[in-house]
Amino acid sequence: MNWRRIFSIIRKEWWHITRDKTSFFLLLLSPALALVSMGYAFSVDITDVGIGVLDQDLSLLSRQYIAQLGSTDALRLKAWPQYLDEVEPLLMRGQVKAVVIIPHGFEQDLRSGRTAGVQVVVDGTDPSTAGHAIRHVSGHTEYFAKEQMEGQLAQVGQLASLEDPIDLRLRAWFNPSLRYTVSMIPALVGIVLSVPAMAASLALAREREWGTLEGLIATPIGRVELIVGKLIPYMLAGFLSVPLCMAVAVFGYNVSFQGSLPLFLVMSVIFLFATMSIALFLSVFAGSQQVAILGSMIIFLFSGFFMSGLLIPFSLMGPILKLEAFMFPTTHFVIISRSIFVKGSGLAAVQGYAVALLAVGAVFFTLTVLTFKKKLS
Amino acid sequence: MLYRMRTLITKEFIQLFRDRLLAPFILLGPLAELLMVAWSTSQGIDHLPTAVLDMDRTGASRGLVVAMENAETFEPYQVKSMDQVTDDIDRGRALAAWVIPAGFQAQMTSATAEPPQLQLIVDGADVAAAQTAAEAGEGLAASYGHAFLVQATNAASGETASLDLSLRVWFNEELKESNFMIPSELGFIAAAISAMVASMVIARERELGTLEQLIVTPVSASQLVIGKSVMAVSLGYTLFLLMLGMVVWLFDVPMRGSLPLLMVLAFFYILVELGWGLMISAVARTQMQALLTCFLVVMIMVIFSGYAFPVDTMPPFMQSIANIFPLKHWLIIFRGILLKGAGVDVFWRELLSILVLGLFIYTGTILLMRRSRLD
Repeated sequence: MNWRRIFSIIRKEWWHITRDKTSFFLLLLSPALALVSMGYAFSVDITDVGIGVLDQDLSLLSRQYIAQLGSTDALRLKAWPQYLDEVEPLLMRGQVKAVVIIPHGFEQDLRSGRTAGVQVVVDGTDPSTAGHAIRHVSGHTEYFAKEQMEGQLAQVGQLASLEDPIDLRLRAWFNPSLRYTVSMIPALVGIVLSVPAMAASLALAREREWGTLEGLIATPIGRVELIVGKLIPYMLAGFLSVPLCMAVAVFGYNVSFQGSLPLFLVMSVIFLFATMSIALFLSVFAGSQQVAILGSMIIFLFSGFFMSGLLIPFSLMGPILKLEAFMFPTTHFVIISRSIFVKGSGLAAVQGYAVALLAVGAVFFTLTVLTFKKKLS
Repeated sequence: MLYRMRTLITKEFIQLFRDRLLAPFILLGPLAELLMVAWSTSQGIDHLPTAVLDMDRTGASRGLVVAMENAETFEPYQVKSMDQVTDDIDRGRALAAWVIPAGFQAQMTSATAEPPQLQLIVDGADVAAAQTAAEAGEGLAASYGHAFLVQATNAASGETASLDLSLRVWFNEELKESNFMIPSELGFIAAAISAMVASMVIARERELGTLEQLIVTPVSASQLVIGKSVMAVSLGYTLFLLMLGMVVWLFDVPMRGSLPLLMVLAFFYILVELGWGLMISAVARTQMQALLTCFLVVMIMVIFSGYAFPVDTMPPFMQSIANIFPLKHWLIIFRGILLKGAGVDVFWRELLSILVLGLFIYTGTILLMRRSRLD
């Protein structure tokens, strides 16, 4: 290890990064820009789900019931089919997500104390929207039934109002109004911060593709020095995007930062180290930049979105998946970032994940050093 | 003309296979990824580890815990103190917690007392899980209380009127999350990989200086674009077929529509989706620029894949942006064929949108190519 040699590699790499101004700004800004657009999409609440109503009863009570269904902005009455045949095309086209069918005799049944039936046909293609529709239709139905029951009980002179027998108090800790942005933005920070690693994986592959690796091989620089020299400038470039992303989160999306800033910065350095090590390991094998790009996209982007616990909590994954997710730095950083950002956790709560990141980073760094040969193939 | 195209296409394939790692990477990488991803999302959010602090210890409180177990959203375990509840939620061991107060049963059955205050605590840091727990919890408490109420009033006054809601779910009868998620992921991965491969092809020629050699040949800009896209589309399409096979046979996503129709449409869709990549490629000077620009486009694409949020409930402004991404239209068609067994009569609008987008994208790419060869 000779620090002077390492430093000259760092300087050379840094020139490479900054020489092409477009790439440099894209590298610095793309995490923050991606966060802006992603965050916007994740801040949407499900409202105004379109439903259709087929009223076969056409009575006073059925109209009251329909008015009840449309009374909040959770559901919107969008279609009024007249016949049963019209229901299927409506759902097939996706114009409405559910159709409520009120049969003949709805009012009569209710008035005479029989159980009246209402049918709901739901398009199950998107289960979360379908679930939303089901919950709200059945909530309104229960409420309507309760009102009817109260009316009847009042007629026979019984207790006038039916109070809910249980008073449920919902407490959402750390995020009282359950805003999606509060939980999603800190997690997305972890995903967008893997961009610098994707760029780093190109760095070694590019030397090989352009044939400039040959020039480096001829110098007395050792392989550890070369790899450390490649690692540091990209970590630095990545580190510069951290405050940008935090600014987007705090000022752009009003996610208040609860934890300690130095702790978060240290954690992001550890995260960058882990992702960069994986990226460099990948680029040792990649003969061209194309392979390096595809590989890092699969490792960082897809796994980041679908496996890092962004939507499905890590603790719910099965054992094999947990093992796989464990290897991806993003999984750990999503947990760390959420804890520090939202819960304001200290070192004690996140140190386990930090150790895991360091371990992943160290393993891949060692593998890179061992497999990288200063030789022409 | 045809001869020129053929030599160009041959050159592309030679280049593709010369790199021993590239073709296997493009095909097997996404396949392995989809396998893992589909596996991880096929279970949905249920069996949340839930701490229960039961300070009542009566029939009613135990009944509530049993109701939780039956609902499958919660995986309750008993804790001894409030401190343990706080600690478990802080450390992420529990994603939700119920606190049943002392006197729960007594207050519930007495006609005069206030209703008991039951507490449900959710970890708001993990909002998807928290939302699920909150909704399931509210439903659970309401139906548990309702059952008590109906028992009490029926005992007092005989039968009363009630409403019976009968539910029928179409297209995805068990409301399986995976039937929605896995097609989304497939669509997204296929689109992202095709765009990514395409985005690098021209940028690579430019970076390595070989584009200059192509320019001095009689090959025209449009021939170059077509030649490049033939290679990319054959890769993207093979990938799509492999992933489709995996999704249908391995993950039991229903295939209700016509398979030949799906295969024909998928081919044209991938051709259009590639156009995005080629367009980026025509502008980018180096592969690094192409990668970073493509990354931004892909990040925006994932929003409209409906993976996190349904597009139809987005604000109007977002919906109009969504329309310029072929992925949005394609997923409607793709899910329509898979789950609903829909035909062209149902989704001709989406088909038309993809066609129009494709025309725009390819015209733009060829124009950009013409301009950039003068640089």
